[in-house]
Amino acid sequence: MAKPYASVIIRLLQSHALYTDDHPYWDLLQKHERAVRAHFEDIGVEVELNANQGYARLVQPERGPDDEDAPLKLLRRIPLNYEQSLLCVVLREWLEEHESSPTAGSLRLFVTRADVRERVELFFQQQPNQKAQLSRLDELIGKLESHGFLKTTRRDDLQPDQTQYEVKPLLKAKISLSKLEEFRLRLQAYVESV
Amino acid sequence: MPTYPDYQAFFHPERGAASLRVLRARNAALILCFLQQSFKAETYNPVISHAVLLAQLTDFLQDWNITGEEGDVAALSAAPEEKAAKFLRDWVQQGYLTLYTDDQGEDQHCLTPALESVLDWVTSQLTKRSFVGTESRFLDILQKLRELVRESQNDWEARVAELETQRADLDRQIRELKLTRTVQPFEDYQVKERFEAVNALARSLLKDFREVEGNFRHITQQIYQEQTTRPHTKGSLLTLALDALDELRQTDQGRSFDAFYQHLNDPRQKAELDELIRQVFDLLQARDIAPGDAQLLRKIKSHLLGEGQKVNTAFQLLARKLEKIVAEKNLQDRRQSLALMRDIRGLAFEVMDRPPPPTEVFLELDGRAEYCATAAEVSLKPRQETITARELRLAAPEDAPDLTALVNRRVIDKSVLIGQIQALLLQQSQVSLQQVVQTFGLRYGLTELLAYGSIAAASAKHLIRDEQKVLFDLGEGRACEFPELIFCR
Repeated sequence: MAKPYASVIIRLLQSHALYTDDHPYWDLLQKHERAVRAHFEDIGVEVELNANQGYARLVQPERGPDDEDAPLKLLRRIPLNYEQSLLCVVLREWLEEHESSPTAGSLRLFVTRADVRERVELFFQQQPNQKAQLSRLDELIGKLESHGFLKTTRRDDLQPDQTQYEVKPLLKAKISLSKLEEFRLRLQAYVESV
Repeated sequence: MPTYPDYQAFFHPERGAASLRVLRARNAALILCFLQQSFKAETYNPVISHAVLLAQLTDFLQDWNITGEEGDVAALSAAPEEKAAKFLRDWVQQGYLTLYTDDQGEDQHCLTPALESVLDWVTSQLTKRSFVGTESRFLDILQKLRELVRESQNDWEARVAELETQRADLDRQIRELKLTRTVQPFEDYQVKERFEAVNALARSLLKDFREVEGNFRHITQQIYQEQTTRPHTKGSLLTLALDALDELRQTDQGRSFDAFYQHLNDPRQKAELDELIRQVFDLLQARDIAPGDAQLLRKIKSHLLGEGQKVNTAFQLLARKLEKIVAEKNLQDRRQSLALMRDIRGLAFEVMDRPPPPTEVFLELDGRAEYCATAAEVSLKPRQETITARELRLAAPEDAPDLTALVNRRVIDKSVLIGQIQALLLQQSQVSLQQVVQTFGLRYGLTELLAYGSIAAASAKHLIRDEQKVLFDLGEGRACEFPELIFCR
């Protein structure tokens, strides 16, 4: 017999993260947190529940090089290139700013494509072909959306610049301080190599 | 009291309070008319979504044929909607309107306290009051002073004496009523006067909410700044978070608002308010008094609840934010990430003109589970990034031209040909192509000839005599002239 919390387990496996407004899964997780945790413990996966930021996700401890008994990797590794990483870092900074801003009307961070463009434009070389630059930005945004960091909340086909996205707090968890440090070192090495 | 420099700011259109700037603005008429109409005139709308306000302004601009600011050539040709969007942007920037995104991601506008004051002042200038009531307000002052003195007494004996005087007064009134059996109700002018006063009070209360909200934000910012600049140990952080919240609640404003909200949400007081409002309107109707601004009071409860709710939400939100900021594992994290970001920014600027290739992996993150299953809800929307493969149409054999002639179906093994040449060279020091073909035959025709040619060309030992052509029989009645080749040892 399937347990009453089976759907939560499946949902956690299928999605990037569960959020407080994912009804009824979030409530089910609250109710059966211990059982859900126990289920994943068997396969060495941890449920990270961050009530403060309002999300729950699966994490798998790093596997040591000589740790032969470690279970297979469940979570897919996603490689990010320079532009994708940089956009992630910029959005992460934005989340922090938003958290400490007393004027924001919501805990959630909503940004439009125009906002994103304004922020990242500084870092990317200007291309004479504006259209190409925009489509490259859209591509980047699409990539981050597929990783669950952004979510389109309002699509505006007439004014694509007004298309609105929500920046998920998951981004802050994924780009941890050590990841930020890693990126900095990587970039430093690149600067020295060219 | 404002100081003289505050008045001087009047001379600079860019400086000074928003309320002064709007009066000096070139399109003050448009701003005041439109915002009054949208937010306050017919029905009182504390919050209007961006989309609705934009549509209203677009209509307004068209109705009044407003082409934009004088001298602004670009504005002349712009579409009304674009102009409206630009106006709204400007007004937000100038501090006439607030813009925020609510929890659903919807953009919302409110009037700022400054603009609300201006609109109210303009209204008060334009509406002629039917009469100026002085009696009720004098009594109000008296009443409030009495309350102030009475309620702040520490001395219990004085309080008792006060209550006893009140009781004596009440007793006297009861005795008189029983004796005369008539009451002296308010005259019409008294009713009117009091109704106007209540209305004005309600209006100003609604206006003040906006200011309360703004002040909460200000206080939060102060607390936040103070705490990020001060160094903290890990242990003191929790107390700090609690203190910060307390501090926010314990400000005079926080306490007054809390108390107000409790009154408003007390079911008994809510019912009493409803009942009183109903009775007042019955009374007005019975006496045939047409109130100037009846709608406001009729809806006062829902307005108060709505506005109060909004301030309360803002308060809760700020409290949660504050909690989040100070309760975060440590403020050190925040500082560290700020420092890292600063470094990354600098490096990113450095590589701007020679960015890393897009194929290079810069970061590796854990994604979602590698778990293939059909999602419970299959999305009917086609995903943009997937490309559906089109079925390739195969050319039907009958309409394809026969191209086999172009393709060399037979592979000529050069080593075989070289072997044949060398076999002949064993007996003689040089041999012509003609002799090779006579001995071994020409099985593959022209191609084979060309292969012999390429063998000859590959080495300086052999000779190609272009001027001397030899005729070779290719079979099937065909023949071909080919330069004479001499292979040497």
